[in-house]
Amino acid sequence: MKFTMYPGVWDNVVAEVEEAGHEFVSDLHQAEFLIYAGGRLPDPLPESVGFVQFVFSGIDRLLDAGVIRPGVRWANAAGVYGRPVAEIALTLLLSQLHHVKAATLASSFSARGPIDAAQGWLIDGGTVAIIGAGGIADALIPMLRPFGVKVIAVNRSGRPVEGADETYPQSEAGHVWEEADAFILAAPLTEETSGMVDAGVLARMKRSAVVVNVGRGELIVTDDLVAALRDGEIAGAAMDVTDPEPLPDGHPLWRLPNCTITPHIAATGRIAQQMVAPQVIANAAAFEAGERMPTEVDITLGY
Amino acid sequence: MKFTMLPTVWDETVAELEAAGHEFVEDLAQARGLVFNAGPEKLPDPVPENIEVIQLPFAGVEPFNDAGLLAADGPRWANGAGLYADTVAESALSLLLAQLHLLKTAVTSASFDSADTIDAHKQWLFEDKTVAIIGAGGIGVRLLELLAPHRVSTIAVNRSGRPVTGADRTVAIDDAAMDEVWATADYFVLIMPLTDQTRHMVNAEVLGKMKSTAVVVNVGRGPLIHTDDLLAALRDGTIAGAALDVTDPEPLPDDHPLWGLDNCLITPHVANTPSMVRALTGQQAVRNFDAFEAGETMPAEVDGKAGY
Repeated sequence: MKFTMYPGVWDNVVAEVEEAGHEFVSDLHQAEFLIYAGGRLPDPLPESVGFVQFVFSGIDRLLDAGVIRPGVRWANAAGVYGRPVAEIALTLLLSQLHHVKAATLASSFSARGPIDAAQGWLIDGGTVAIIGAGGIADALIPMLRPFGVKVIAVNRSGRPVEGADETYPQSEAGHVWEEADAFILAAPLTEETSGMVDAGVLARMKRSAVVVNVGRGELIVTDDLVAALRDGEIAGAAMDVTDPEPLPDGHPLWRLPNCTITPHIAATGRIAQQMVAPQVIANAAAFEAGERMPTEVDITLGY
Repeated sequence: MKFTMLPTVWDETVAELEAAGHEFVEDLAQARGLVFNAGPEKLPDPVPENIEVIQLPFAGVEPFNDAGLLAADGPRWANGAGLYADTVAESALSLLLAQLHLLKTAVTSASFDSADTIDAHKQWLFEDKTVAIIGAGGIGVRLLELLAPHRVSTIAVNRSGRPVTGADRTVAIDDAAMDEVWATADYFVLIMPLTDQTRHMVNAEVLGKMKSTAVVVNVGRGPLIHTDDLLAALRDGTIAGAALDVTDPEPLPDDHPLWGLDNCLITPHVANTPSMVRALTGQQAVRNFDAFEAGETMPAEVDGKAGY
């Protein structure tokens, strides 16, 4: 198939896709599919374009902005960045359990006593709940296994997640907020998941609980989290995504020693450039065969 | 077996030993075993001949070795080796990941403005990296288990060169192949005990052999690294980063320049702490005293000649 890429052309991705038998064209009107990394798109797209391949996973903003519209098929990169995002999730979880931020802010061995008293251990065999268990969970669960923790997976369908000790559908997972010691939020942002971690949910958690967000900032009600972290309602939070994002300089979350924040460094453009091509090729093959693409977006579900 | 505890009696340690059938006595002259929780200067001199075995709570025994006590004829010694495998292995992985993903930069910048800098300079464990564990004993084996799902290549370095379970390759510390290990591994985790041979083993020469992208994690003892050489290597980009739970000097003074380096993450010796030691010493003493009574080598027996 003929394809183009917009807005920037990633040479290595183009080369990999060409190697699979497709042909790069610079004119969008000749392209049969478009590899898309964000930004404005011509409206309507030329009729030649059969599908648009978005290079990231989260499509909530594209839906809100009306970039994704019915009339052309879309695919995303769901699951492609499972390993890097899982690595960031584990990094954030361990860093928060061991108070790396507090140690850095203190810059003194005088912090030893307080950190010793406050730090938590994965190795102590607690329970980790993964909320929105898809491709990230598939990569994260094996990383958690050697710590001997119990893993609870929560997904939309409740279909058992490989490697998890228990899986619950979102609709029947309320009790998990009370049970787990750590939560990894990895869900896409939809009407159902927006603001799912609010004051009510934070109050149900253990005081020793740690919440890690590698999904979307809006999964958490930020003001409720600030209050819960200040009051000691939960022990800590660690996030690679925030709401608003970028989190403004001077936002109270930056100053809380029990809130670790990285500036959305998990699935970056650099990582997408390295990893996305095989998914593009698989989607193009399915499209050509007249099938549903493996990561085809369901516009009504929102992911 | 009759035992006593000096200079501070930890009730939980005594209770665990008594629960295992050993008998606490106040009088040192009546005891066969001694649990001793202070530095060598507080040890009775000489140790009475009725004391046949001494349990120390920590893994590091260099002050006792320096005082000539371990190599002397007299009691056998056991330490806390292996007791902290879980916590130190978890801390080592935590420090490695936090440094690879530039957590210190994220914390000190406190701004999304640092996103591009972090993205450009951070490293990923999942991208076919090689991790060398220098001093691969019980902690190293546990760390290898934690690293396995990350599909890294692993090199275990130990004294004997005897293959370490879970490592792709094992190299003896005094083998000529170490030159190549320093030059080819991406990340180094230092866990070995401090001895005359290991003091300052990571110095300017060794740092100079490493890749410019190398990251060094120290969860062993501060003096394994020559601090001034590390400071220079981190400042001039000889290596990419370091993450330290132990330092030299320790405590690291508040005005020490290492605190100010974004590529040097420091936690204040929290991988194993006095509170953990106190909680775990009883079960360690039980294992060792039981083996001692059975006429066996104790699980954490100190090799007096080697100094650990």
